[in-house]
Amino acid sequence: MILNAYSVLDASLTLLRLLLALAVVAIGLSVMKQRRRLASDELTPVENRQYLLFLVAGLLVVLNVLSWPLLYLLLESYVPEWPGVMCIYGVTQIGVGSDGPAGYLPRLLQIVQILKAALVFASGAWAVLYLANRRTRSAPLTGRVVWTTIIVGVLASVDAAGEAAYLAIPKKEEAPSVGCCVTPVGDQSRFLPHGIAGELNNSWLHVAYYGANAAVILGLLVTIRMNAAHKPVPRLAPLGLLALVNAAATTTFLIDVAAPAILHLPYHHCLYDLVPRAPESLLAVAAFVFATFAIGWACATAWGARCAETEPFLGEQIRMTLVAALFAYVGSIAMVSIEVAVS
Amino acid sequence: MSKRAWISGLLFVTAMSALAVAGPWLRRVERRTCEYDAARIEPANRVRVVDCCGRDHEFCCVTCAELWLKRSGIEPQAIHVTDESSGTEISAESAIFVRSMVSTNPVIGDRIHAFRDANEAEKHSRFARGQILGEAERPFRAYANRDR
Repeated sequence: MILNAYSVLDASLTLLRLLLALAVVAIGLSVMKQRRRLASDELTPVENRQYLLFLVAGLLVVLNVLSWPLLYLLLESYVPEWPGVMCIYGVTQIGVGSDGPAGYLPRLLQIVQILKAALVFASGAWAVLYLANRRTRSAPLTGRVVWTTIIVGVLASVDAAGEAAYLAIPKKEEAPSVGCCVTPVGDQSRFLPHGIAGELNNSWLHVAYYGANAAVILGLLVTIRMNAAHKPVPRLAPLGLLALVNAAATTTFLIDVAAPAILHLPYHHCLYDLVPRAPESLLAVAAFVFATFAIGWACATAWGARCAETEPFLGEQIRMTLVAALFAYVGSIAMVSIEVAVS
Repeated sequence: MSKRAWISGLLFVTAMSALAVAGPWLRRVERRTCEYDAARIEPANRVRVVDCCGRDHEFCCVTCAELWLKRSGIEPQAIHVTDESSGTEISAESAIFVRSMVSTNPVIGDRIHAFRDANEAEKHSRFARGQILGEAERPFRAYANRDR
């Protein structure tokens, strides 16, 4: 284990998250079991346990969100540990082709990075369902909220276990016995990040980025306006699909066009480098991720929180989420465009 | 949408735009990283390319500068390398290049060293099991006689 301030902080947070996640799963399962067994007039002790569950889950959600940027600060702090590594991308390549436990590091880190995104999304979905449930009189969504809590708990415990394993595995590469010159361990060029779109013309990426974002923003405006006058729950499936297509186009644009321009490194396609060199541009990335997730959370609200008691306010809650997504998209595009233009 | 939501949203977008202007302005201090692979530039191996518009581009090693020139397609006005023994900048055309076992950039795999003095080049070549590069192997030979 590499010991520095960030690794100690990350290890503490990971341990705390693991304990909380296991507690959330255990309490959640016991609540569901007792809810099935007991009659509705005997539910007081179960309700008390639910309050505890939601309190612990709320804390877990906050820690899950905090753990996402902390992972990248940790990886950034590892950069000086290897002479050939220049940025976080290089750290993610440590262990490629290596024998021994270090060989698991790249795949483990990939899984943890994907889990972090899934976890933040699931945490947000839990929050929107919880808020909808709180606004009702008889809390008819409690069962769904508890199940979502359990899913968040399971995801958080897998994520925390993976992160703990990543922290604990010695980051010492071992070349296989055939020799270091014929394996990736000896290949230092693996530390250089490459683009996604290859030799595709940048102007096409511009068209794809602005086109896809314009389509999503237009979709958001139409959905918000069409459902503002009367109050039904808007249809969100097409918007969700558009957001997914836009996510692919924007990610490619950010890696292939925006990051090299902002970093003044035309052949260095690395979003990770924005962490130390252009930290303010991470706000644009965060706003974009929030906007995409917000559309997903709106879908989760529309599909998961619909019942007779939520009908009066559900449309409004979804619209507020979509309005937040709209401005987050516009803010992200404005920031990326200005940074690319002035850099 | 309510008026309050519009105002909050527009404030957010304005703040993001202001940060996008302020960020690059605050970072306008001289960059000391290689323009090809973003590695830290060691003063002894620094290469400076002056492009057709007179702008400087700095690189951590000879190979990075060559790869950047090849990919960018830029016609350089001048190429300067650093004499490893004295640390002073010299024209690439007047430099003596040695390829040795000592790596200057482990990522790219560059092992080319530049010297002003032939004796220093010989010494490094003997010490680090290298060889002085002849005309056919000289770095930047495609841009020779273009330095102005």
